[in-house]
Amino acid sequence: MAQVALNKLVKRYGAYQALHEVDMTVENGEFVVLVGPSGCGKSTLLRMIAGLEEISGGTISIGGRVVNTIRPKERDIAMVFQSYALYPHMTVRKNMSFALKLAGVAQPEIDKAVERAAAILGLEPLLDRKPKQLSGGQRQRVAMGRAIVRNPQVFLFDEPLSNLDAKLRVQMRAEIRELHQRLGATTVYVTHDQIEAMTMADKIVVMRDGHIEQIGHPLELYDRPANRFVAGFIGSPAMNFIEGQVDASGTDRFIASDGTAIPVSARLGILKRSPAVLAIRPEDLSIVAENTPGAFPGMVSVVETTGPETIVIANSCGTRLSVVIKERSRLKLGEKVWLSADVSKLHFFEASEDGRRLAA
Amino acid sequence: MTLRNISPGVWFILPTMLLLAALIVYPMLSTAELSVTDANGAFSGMRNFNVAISAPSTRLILFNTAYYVIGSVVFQLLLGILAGILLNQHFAGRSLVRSLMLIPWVVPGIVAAMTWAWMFHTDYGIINYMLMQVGIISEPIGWLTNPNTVMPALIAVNAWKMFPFVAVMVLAGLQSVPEELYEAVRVDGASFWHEIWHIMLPQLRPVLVSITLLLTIWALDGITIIYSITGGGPANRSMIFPIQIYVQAFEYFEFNRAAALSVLYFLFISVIIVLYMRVFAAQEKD
Amino acid sequence: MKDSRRTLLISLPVAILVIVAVFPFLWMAVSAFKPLSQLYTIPPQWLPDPPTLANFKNVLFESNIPRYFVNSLIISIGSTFLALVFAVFAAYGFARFDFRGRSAALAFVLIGQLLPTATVIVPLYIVLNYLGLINTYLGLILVYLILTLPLSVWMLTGYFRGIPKELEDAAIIDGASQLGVLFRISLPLVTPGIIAVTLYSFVATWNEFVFALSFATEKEMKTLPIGLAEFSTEFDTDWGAVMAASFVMTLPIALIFLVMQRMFVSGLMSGATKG
Repeated sequence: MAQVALNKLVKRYGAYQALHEVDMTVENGEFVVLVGPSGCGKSTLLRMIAGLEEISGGTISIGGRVVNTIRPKERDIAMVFQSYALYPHMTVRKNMSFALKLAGVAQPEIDKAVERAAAILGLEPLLDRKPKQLSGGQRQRVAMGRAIVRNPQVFLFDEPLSNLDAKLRVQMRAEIRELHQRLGATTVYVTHDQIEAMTMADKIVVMRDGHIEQIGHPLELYDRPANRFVAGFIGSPAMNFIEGQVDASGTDRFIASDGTAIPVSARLGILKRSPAVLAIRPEDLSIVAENTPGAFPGMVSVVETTGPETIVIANSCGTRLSVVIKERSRLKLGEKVWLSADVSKLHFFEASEDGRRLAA
Repeated sequence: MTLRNISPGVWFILPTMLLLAALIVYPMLSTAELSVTDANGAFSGMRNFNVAISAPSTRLILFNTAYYVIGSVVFQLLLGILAGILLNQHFAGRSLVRSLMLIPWVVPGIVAAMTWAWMFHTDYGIINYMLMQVGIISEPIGWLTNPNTVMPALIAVNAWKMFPFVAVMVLAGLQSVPEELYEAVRVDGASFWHEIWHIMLPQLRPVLVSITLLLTIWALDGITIIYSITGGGPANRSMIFPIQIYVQAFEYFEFNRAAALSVLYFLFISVIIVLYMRVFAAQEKD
Repeated sequence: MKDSRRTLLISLPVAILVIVAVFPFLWMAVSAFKPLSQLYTIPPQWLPDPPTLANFKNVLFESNIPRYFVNSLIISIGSTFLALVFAVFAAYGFARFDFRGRSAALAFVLIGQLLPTATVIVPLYIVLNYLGLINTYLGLILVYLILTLPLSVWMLTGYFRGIPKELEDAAIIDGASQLGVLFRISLPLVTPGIIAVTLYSFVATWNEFVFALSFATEKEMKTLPIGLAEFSTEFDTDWGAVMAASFVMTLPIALIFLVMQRMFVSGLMSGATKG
């Protein structure tokens, strides 16, 4: 049983607190991604699971056993580092055998394990090369091979794809995912890239400033972000945020800070008269004809084409709104457009610092 | 702090720290103790110090030490800076010259001393010969026997020995100046001398400050050259403090007096270091 | 026109510089090969005619120089090795760990490098005498640590710091102990540093004069530098022998220098800019 459980985990560096009572569970065989901006504490958390950082408070359990005082060697975990951390003076084969050798495993066993891992990752032709003779992607695979060979209870990944170019990253994402499906191992994966999180995770943990903002299935975080931060962090292009308040006069409208009115569904009674933030994803906005009911105006500021889509950025509602449309657009800068929001896809958040989700 | 809480780093450095403590701290404490006791181990207060300070030769030795140190450092710096600036220029065979220039430093101190002693030989020395050939002198000079010339001769040896060190440091300092700075100044119409004065020397200031301290300390400790060539003579005209300490201890076997001298000397050097830091390190902060 | 002036402005001083630096060394070498009759002449003879090995024969077979050479070799190798062992551990501790008093300890080590030898010869003599280590190999090997340890620690600390920490983390996860990480991963990767430290320590102890003068006074135990000075007494110096012995003593250093000259200069440069 390789479940990882964090209970009220705390990390302090002197007077500075990096993690504030974090609770989290990774179920057996789950692929959990820790995601958040730099400095949010995700790498620290990962290193604490690995045993590379001291625990200031709370407990970490692996496989039901509390491991706070247990050294990395005995936690039965393997880690893939951002810079791969391959031993430069050893061949690929020796790199992959190192841990087993230290554990006193017999040579024939070691060779078998290395061959097996190499076969899974396609590393056979590289076994006798040194790291400096390998490309970035190959080094990444060797780093994973080194982890697989140990057959650990838990795999830890620390931003492994950050050093790869964009194309390679997409390819490796799929490979890692495939690997996970094949091995079924419990995995904790740290990244700052929300796309990696969305595409790879069974469960995403969004972190900020040492706190967990939300835990859930990728689509859950996408469709029902728990607060403004998660809403803005997940999804690209990012969520649009409009400040204002619900219309007090009784009609079902949200009045933005610049006076623009946006129709909303009828069930928002509770929010009347208090400032709030209306949020909507770019793909839930559309460009419509002028007289469409519920349409509101904006002025085009930037038009970007990515090929399959067009992103139109318009000044509206006192801010810049991004709209993603599927067709090619002939809109020009400064042109006036009319936007419409999908009423069923609106989110509302408190206007305060916390920005918690408001029941809609 | 329990044994468990001690950082492993402490264990790693412990053997070395203990060793150095035994080799440095303990002897220094023991020197202090020696300096205030007499040959039988009885406490004698400041007697050793008084004897040391009031000895007739002490003033001469003090003068010689200052003479030697200041002379050495000045010429080591001058020669070294000149060499460093020269070696920073581009010319054919530059790397060969750089390597050749290191020879004085690499040659063992005693070898340098003996070689120069041979060159300074009054009758058979090549220096007197060359000077007479060129007409600078008409009679051989007793470099190492004449009280007036012995110090300059020794300073010359010390300068020769150490200037490559200065040159290497200067070279490294100059090479960290971006080429554009030189180019800008040239475009502005500056001559080579301007380049030296306005770019190179200011750039070198921090390096020179730290080197000068090192050179001073090394010169203050310079026993090898002088002892092996003149032994401190003639008539103490080349005797400097560190040699006096050695002589007191190992030729006269007056360990207590030598200890007192050591303490005095150590304090003297410490004062120099502290003063130096104050004056120059403070200036650094502008 | 300016260009040729500049060439002159540079090549003349350079030539003078080279002559100043190299001449004494050459003169020593040349003198070593002159028969005594051609050494003690007025005016001096520039080159030996013909060159002779008489001085070398004298030095190698009729003096104590070979014995001194062996002594120097044993002491230098011993001291270098010992310094290396201590320095590796200490440097690793300074490089990889942060603990209270770390900067103070490092400062103390560096100050050891600045220590004027004259201030410690008296007490060291007494201590060594007490321990029965005067005129022993061990005695000199130990005191030479004062000269070699501080700089070795400082240099190796820099080299250890240059190893990415992730490599050591990976090794820990792979199951290596702290010492295992040091010996299997870090040490192989600082090989250039080890070489630099070894060479520096060897050269420093080979050339050392003052401690050898004070602590190795018996004929069998003297080292080369002292043996060399022995040839010149107050009244009668055998200059041929002195030059030949100098040549012999400089040989290992010259060899090391020739082979490692590139490292010498660049190593010093990086030390300088680190400041």
